[in-house]
Amino acid sequence: MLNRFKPVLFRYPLRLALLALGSTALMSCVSTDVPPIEAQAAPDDATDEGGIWYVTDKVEKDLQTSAIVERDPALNDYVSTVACRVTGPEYCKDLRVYIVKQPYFNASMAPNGMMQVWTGLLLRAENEDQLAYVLGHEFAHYRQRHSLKQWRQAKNMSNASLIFSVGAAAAGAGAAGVLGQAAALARLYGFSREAERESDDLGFDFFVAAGYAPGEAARTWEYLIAEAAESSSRRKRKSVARASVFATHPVTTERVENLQAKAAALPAGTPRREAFLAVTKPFLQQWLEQDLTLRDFGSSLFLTNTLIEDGDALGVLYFHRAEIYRLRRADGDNDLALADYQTASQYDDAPPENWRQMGDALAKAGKTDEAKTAWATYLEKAPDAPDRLLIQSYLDPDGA
Amino acid sequence: MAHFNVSPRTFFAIIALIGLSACASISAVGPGPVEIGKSYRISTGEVWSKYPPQSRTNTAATMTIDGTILNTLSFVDGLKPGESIIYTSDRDKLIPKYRADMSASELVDFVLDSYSAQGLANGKMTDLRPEKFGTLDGYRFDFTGAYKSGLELSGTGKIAQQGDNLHIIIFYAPSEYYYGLRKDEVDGILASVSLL
Ligand SMILES: [Zn+2]
Repeated sequence: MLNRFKPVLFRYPLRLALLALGSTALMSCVSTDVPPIEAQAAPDDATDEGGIWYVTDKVEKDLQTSAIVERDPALNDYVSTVACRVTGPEYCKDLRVYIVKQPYFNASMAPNGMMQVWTGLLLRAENEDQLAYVLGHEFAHYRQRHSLKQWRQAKNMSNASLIFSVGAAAAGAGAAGVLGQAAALARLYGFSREAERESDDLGFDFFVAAGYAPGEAARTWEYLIAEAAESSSRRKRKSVARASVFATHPVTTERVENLQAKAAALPAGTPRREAFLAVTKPFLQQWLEQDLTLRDFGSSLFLTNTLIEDGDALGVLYFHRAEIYRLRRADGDNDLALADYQTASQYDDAPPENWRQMGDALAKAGKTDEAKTAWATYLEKAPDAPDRLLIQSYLDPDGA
Repeated sequence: MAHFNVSPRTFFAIIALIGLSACASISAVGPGPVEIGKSYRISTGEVWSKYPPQSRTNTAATMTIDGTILNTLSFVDGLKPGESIIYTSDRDKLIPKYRADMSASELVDFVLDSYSAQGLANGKMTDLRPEKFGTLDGYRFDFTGAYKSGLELSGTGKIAQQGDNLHIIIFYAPSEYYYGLRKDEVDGILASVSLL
């Protein structure tokens, strides 16, 4: 399937949609027992579900023009194709996948079929199978209409804050931006334990039926728990205990064990790594840089070391690990950084900046001549470098 | 004061409102010399609106000519090692901090990473060169990026260390029309820096 940024129509007049959302408040209790949504079905305008779709359509429309959406065609085609493998051809037409440039491991599924896959997730998946499992899990939320259930439960319990969140998103929380709106809506897809369990089970079935390696399902969650334990952020480390690693879909040991048990009963299969690497590799450096803007050095180091063990793109990875040490500035980090810049320089895929930073690190260590050689190599490798004039001033301080 | 989250709708609403807004704490400055904090002075060619210092972001002054959404010129006066130029109410959020031994490219990364942490999308340094900051050895840089809504922005700035402390002047505006509109004025301001 091609990625479809199909325009979302304002299917329902605002007043009608809000009326539908509001009307359920008048009923004493609405049934939360809803059957799965059919493929290519859209809810009736005058229902609460129609209202929810209206609100999410509105958020989706803003997302479509947002600067945080990654529009690279090859990457979008690939992720959408994987999504379609797990949903099957019919439901495939109901989902619209958006790759969102955010350095966190996250994916979300809106009730209208807007699926977000954050780049922090793509950075951490080791193969197509792990990505496919998360997409299958998200799709299960859509198919089982978990948002509608969540909404009706909140309504029945008169959960004013959820109702307000959705209302705020509906009003177009302009200044809060697309992510602010999405965060308000996340209340709609922060699901119950039962919903998470159901999505784990169904997502697993979809992903196995699509031919993916069963053992990879649990591995994603296992990795996340391990990374969070290494985080420099106290809150993130605590989240391991609180089991909320994957923000909108809390990961618990029980869930991991459930997936492990299901996989153990099936033939292992072989994870698909090649195609995944081919399409994500061009983004590796960019995503790693974005990850580093979080300044969570513990987490970044754990991630980078894991990727180094996998053994691909080593020039990019050693350069990046050096960058983590350079920014962390703990005792001995200057030496660690310099050693990694030097290691990276032996790989063909090391980016040109590796030599600039290596020059800076050598200069810091008092090795002026070696620094100049590194800087000169940088300018050879990147003749149009944005900081060419600066580097030339290092090479020739008297300014010829 | 950085606005990266503004949506196109808000953007145009604000254009409409700018003429109506008035605030006692904003003063008109220029054309002519304007003192920034305790360390330096710049000179403008036009009249700018100047906002008071914001201690939370260590901003000595923010100036704008058409409203902060349309262009923002921010000044930092002598940032100390360990300090940051952004504010977060989230005590557990890890944010970029200034260090005295940063190289030129690290200083610019520090500024752009801070802005990215605050919502600048696709921030990218496009030029970095030595340039005097008054009598100090400083650096001039250009960058591009986008507001989260998708609106592209361009920016330019100048940094220099005085002892262990960092001075920053940074300007950004929507790439389309507004950046070019004030580019000459801002180049003039950046060239006019003199230490107090
Ligand atoms: Zn979930």
